[in-house]
Amino acid sequence: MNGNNSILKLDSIGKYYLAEAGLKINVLEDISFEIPVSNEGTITSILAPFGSGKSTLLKIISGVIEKDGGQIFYGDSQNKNVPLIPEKPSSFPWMSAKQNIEFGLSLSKKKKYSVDDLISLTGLSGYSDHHPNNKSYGFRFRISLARAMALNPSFILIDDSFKQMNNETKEEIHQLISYLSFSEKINFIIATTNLVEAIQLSDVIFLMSAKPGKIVHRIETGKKHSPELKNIKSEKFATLKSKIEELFHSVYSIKTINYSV
Amino acid sequence: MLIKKTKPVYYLVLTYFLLWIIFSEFILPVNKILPKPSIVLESFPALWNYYNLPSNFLATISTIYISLFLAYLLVKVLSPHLKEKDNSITVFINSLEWFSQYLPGIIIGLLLIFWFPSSNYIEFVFAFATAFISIMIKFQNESDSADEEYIISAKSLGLNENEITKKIIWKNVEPKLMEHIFNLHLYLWSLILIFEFIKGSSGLGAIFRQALEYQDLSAIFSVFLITGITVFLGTLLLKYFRKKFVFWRKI
Repeated sequence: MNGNNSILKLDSIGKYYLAEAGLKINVLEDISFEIPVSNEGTITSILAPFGSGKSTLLKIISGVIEKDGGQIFYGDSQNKNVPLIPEKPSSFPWMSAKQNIEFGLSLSKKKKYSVDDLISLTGLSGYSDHHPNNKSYGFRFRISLARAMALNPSFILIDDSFKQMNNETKEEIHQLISYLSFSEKINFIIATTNLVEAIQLSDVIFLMSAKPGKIVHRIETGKKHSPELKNIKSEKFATLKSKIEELFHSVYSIKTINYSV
Repeated sequence: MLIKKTKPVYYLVLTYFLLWIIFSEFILPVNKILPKPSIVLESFPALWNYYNLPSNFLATISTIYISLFLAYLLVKVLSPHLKEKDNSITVFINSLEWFSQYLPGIIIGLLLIFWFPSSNYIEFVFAFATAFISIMIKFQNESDSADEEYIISAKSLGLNENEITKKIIWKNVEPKLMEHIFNLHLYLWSLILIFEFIKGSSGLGAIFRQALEYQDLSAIFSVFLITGITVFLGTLLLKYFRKKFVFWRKI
């Protein structure tokens, strides 16, 4: 098995930790999925309840922590470090927006964008000399995103970073991600607990159960051909939402999902 | 327009000075508690000529500020090694720190004075070692609680452990180290003045000792004022550095 036709392929990934008295607790069990190579940018969501191991999975994919079993294929990319934007905004507060991006570029082995390109693409024009300390979550997220894009990776991981933002900012960031995926053909993998967010943003949704974390369903939203999915009042949106809710209810451990708009 | 308010404490300090001038200059007779401001002023030329104020003053401030600066720099350079709590350097320094929990630092200073009575450098070594151990322990403690999101991001960007310590963890804990240096600054002043007082060869502490032997109240008071003003200016300088270089501190 290899990942030549995929930008990412996970094969039976497992992760456990040892609790007190040496008890082995499985956090992730037999996680397998694939994101195929595409000429278009895709947004893939991993939709799961709190405490299901989404963050652990993203950390394993990004190379931050080691897996305890299985294999990961990164397509033809030699770079196994995939930028991960964690839950809390992670732009470095001791650097300006521009310096954060330059830091990313200094680590990049295959530069595609210039600093100015990244500033412009992420909506930071006019704020390049601003420092992220004490600034909004949205501003800090844009910097983290630009810094991640500086590496020109096959895909970018986002770990439920939107839940700290207010609705207005969240909407702007969703639009930005959709725009970058469409115009720059950037692939995103987003971990989220929010069903509505997953439907509105994603091309593919993986449903994940908890304790242990397992992928239980794969759903194609058909978003590219159904722009009305962005409208939560549309029939398509309601149909897909009901379908996912039913799938969730069929799995006992994922009933704590956030169904709110 | 933004009007910067003067803190009430400064008014109070000013009031103390005015009261001192009024009472000791015009109301109280000559006494051994508060010298007249005019006599204190007159004692400055004597301090300059007989107590060798310039070189003693320079000896003290260079010892304190150079050792503080070098200790900070060395902890920064060695930070990747110092973060690991089980390597031999860290274990050795931590064992020294264990003694300092139960022994006041000046007792080590006393031993150093006894062992190296004529050394000109032992005061600097003592100040540097105190500053280095203190900053190192603070760094070790704070690096354990560095913000995880920065470390995760840095790892995912491909930085190795050494680079993460130098470029991310150090920056992350720098505001707390800076706060620690404010306390260390005052502690070092106290320690070095006592050290110099006991050794009696150079520094402001040596002037205190000499003035005490001569029962020269105005000289003691003058050096007291010089020390206070210097520590005040030193604190202002540290505040400036904090504002200029560690501006991202959490409020």
